[in-house]
Amino acid sequence: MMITEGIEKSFGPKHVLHHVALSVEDGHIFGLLGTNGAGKSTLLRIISGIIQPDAGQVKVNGESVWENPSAKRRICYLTDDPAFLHASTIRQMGAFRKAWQEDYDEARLKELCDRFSLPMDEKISSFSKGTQKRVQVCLALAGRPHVLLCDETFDGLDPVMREAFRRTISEETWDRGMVTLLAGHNQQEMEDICDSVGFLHEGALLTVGDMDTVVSGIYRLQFATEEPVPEEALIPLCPLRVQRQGRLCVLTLKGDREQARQTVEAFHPLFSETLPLSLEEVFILEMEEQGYAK
Amino acid sequence: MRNKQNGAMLRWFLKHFVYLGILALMISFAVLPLHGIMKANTIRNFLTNQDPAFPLAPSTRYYYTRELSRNFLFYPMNQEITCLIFGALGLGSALVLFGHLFSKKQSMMYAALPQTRGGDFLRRGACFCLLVMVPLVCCALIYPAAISAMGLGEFFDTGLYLREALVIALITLYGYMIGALSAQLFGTLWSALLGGLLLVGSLEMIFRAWYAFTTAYLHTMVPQKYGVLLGGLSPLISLYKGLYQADQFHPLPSLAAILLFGALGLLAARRNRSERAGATLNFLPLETPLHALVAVLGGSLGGLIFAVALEPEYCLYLGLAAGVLVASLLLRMLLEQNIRVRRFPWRVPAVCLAVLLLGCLGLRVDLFGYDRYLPDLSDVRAFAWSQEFYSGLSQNPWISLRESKNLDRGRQWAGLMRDETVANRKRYPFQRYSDAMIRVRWTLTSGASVTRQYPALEDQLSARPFVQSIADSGEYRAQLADALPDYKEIYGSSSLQFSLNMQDEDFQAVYGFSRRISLDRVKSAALREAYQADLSARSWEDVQGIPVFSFWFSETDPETDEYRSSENYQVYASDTRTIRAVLGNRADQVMAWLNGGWADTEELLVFRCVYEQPDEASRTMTSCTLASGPDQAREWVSRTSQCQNQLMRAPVNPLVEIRLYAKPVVRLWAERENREELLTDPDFWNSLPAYDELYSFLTLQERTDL
Repeated sequence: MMITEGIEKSFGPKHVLHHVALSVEDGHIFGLLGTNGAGKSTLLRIISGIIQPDAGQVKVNGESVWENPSAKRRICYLTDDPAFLHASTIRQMGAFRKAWQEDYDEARLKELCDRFSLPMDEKISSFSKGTQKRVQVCLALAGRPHVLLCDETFDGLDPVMREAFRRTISEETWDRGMVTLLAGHNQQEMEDICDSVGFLHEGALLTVGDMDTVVSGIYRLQFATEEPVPEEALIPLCPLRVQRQGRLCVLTLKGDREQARQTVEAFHPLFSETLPLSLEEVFILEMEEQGYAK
Repeated sequence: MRNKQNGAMLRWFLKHFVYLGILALMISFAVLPLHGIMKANTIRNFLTNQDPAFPLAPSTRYYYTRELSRNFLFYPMNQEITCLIFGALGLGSALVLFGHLFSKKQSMMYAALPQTRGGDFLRRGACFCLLVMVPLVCCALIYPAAISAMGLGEFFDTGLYLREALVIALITLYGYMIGALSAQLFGTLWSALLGGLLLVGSLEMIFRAWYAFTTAYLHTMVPQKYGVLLGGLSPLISLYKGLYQADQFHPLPSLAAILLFGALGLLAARRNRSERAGATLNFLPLETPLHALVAVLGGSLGGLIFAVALEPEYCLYLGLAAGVLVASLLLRMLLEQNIRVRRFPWRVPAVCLAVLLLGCLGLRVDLFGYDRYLPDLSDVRAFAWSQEFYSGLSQNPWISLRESKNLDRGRQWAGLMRDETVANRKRYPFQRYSDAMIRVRWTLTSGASVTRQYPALEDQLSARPFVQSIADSGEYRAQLADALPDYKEIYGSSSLQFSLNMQDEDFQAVYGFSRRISLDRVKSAALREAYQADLSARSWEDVQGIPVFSFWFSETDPETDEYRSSENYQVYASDTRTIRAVLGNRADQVMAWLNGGWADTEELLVFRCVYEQPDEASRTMTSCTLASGPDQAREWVSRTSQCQNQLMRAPVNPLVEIRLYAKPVVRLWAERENREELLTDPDFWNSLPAYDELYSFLTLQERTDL
């Protein structure tokens, strides 16, 4: 289990993270969605023990991560821009990881490289950016980490590889009880594989919860009436968005669906129905509610 | 488990940075044993060809021992380059080992590894020791082994060699610690390199510049204190001096600095913020202190350069301002990593400039009364004085006086010198030429010791009563005699030379004995004893006369007979014991000559020459009169002073000289120059001073106080 407790971080006068509290169970994949500059990478760096938080702490299986080699040995952080030793090959990088992590599995690395068609003895710097990302994932998985942090890791991969890696990571997470945290902007991908999700905006974690709960938290209610419903009548529903097309009215609402439906019934609608939203739509609405990009 | 993992990490580092070890081995081998072994081979060949019937002279043995134990370290490089090479090796190694800190990606990659920051710092330090220090030590040990194998062990001074090797090892380690700290403080290679150089020498440079300002304004400060203070405090200077004088090397400043920089480096490493990698400065709170240091350094150096290069005083202040501005601007460019500075904080440079200007102005007006210092007589326990460039008595002895009469006179004399110095206060040019300086040391009743130095008074007459009274006091005389170094055990030989300005062969032809006399150990011991007795009896007036001759005590090494140094002393007519100890039976003849006998001879020509101006380079002779006879010659000579010591010297008229020519010497000159026809011309004999190429054997200056 990975827990962050009241993480605060500032870079000079800029407050980057505000009291971020998060917990991810073993065997779960958590998706971290956020606007640009929201602090996703900073949060992942803090979790991986690269950056020290100003306040709060990160715990993995009850052990604090900061300056704790035994806890850090169980964490692997995949950056959006992979870093390797100068002029190194995959085999050399494997030896490098092995020096710091005794149980690093070089045979598993070879197996992963064979599966993803990666040459072990060619210089990594000669690979394309997408291939370097594949190398990074293989190097990470060979270490059998308990916590895997992926920072826009799948961006730049072709759809086939993307799918293959998604499957591999999902299997590893379920089979070994790994904690996986995916940060990025690809909501569809997250909706497909994440068990839970959180929205990060301007350093604050706004919404956290199971994927179903978060996605069903906001919905559309559309109904048609004989006469147009006056604006004032809709105020008790606190709609996030109101769209009208003649007698058809589409409300985007947050909160109790049953209560909303009963309120609409009072307008004697010709018909009414509730429509689900995608994760992307939920995220956009949440951000709009925060005043982002208005 | 943990040890095993640590071993694996260290092994990986050693493998990864093996090229550093190879480089260190090559440098160490080239500088340490390579040339030494080659030279040792040459010496061995020379010794093999020596005839065993003739054992080596101690001095030759000593020379080879020094050559084999010491000089090989540096040849063909000098000490500065050796210092630079090993300092750069240490600094460069640190920047290579901590090179990952200069790239954000690399820095984060290492920070994500399961290790602590402190552990990483120490592991890289261990890597440096194994890759750089171990080859250096091995190379240092190869050489004695090679010397021993070559059969030259008896010519090897192990202690001296090990001290020199220790200095080199400390220079390398010092360079590494500076580099390691700098790499933690600065986020780019260039800033770490510049920061390292700043850590190495910024305080020394500021200190040096301010010492120059201080001595330029405070005229009574003793300059030598600077070197002593810096050598004792600065690790850089102490290590640099250690290469020159390994015998006197004190490792404390450098060891303390190595430990301090190491501890600071470890502290900075533990607090290092990976997210700052790539920025110039890793720790933002250090920006203001760094800016202040750079501004003060730039201002001080700017002021020094302007003041040395340009004479007017305002240039110093201009230099301070320009230095602060340029240094601050360059720092901002580095911090912003852009040649176009977007933000220039004025407060720090303005405050620094104000401090520098106030400092210089404070020195200018002698804010703390340094030059005006003169203790109350009741606070003084002892008064001592010594004169720089002092000649005639001995080597600048510190004569310490405690009698109340001498304390009073000493204070009055120092007061005169102080008043003249304070009255003439003006900024000296930075390239100051050596004047006759008198140093005064007050030992106060509190036990404190205060030293000042003054230029010799321009009006010698005003100082004379005090100096004469002190110089003629029994307390002074007794100490002066005691101040003569005890050469009994260490002299090898001594020699003397008569003061007359004549070629050696002319002197021999005219006077019948050599102008230069070498004395053996026995005679030298007698000479010293006699001279010590004469010193304690010599009066102020005695040293106004003509020195008969000067002699040298040469100090030699008791084991090797190697020359160390020599001191020159002058002997006056009153020093009868000394003259007798040297000349034996001929002493009476010389004494008679000294007491005026020479003036009775017709073979001597004495001229009184008067000049238009005192400047020797451009003066014109207005008149030159030949003495009418021996009486007038004696009268003229009795009114002269030959004393070279400005302090002891009676006031003289620089426009009047008494020149003495010996006819036999002139004849020898004419023969040598093939100009015998001159000798038959009466006008020639009446105008000898007109011939520039013909030197008088004695030139005296007329006193004004008689």
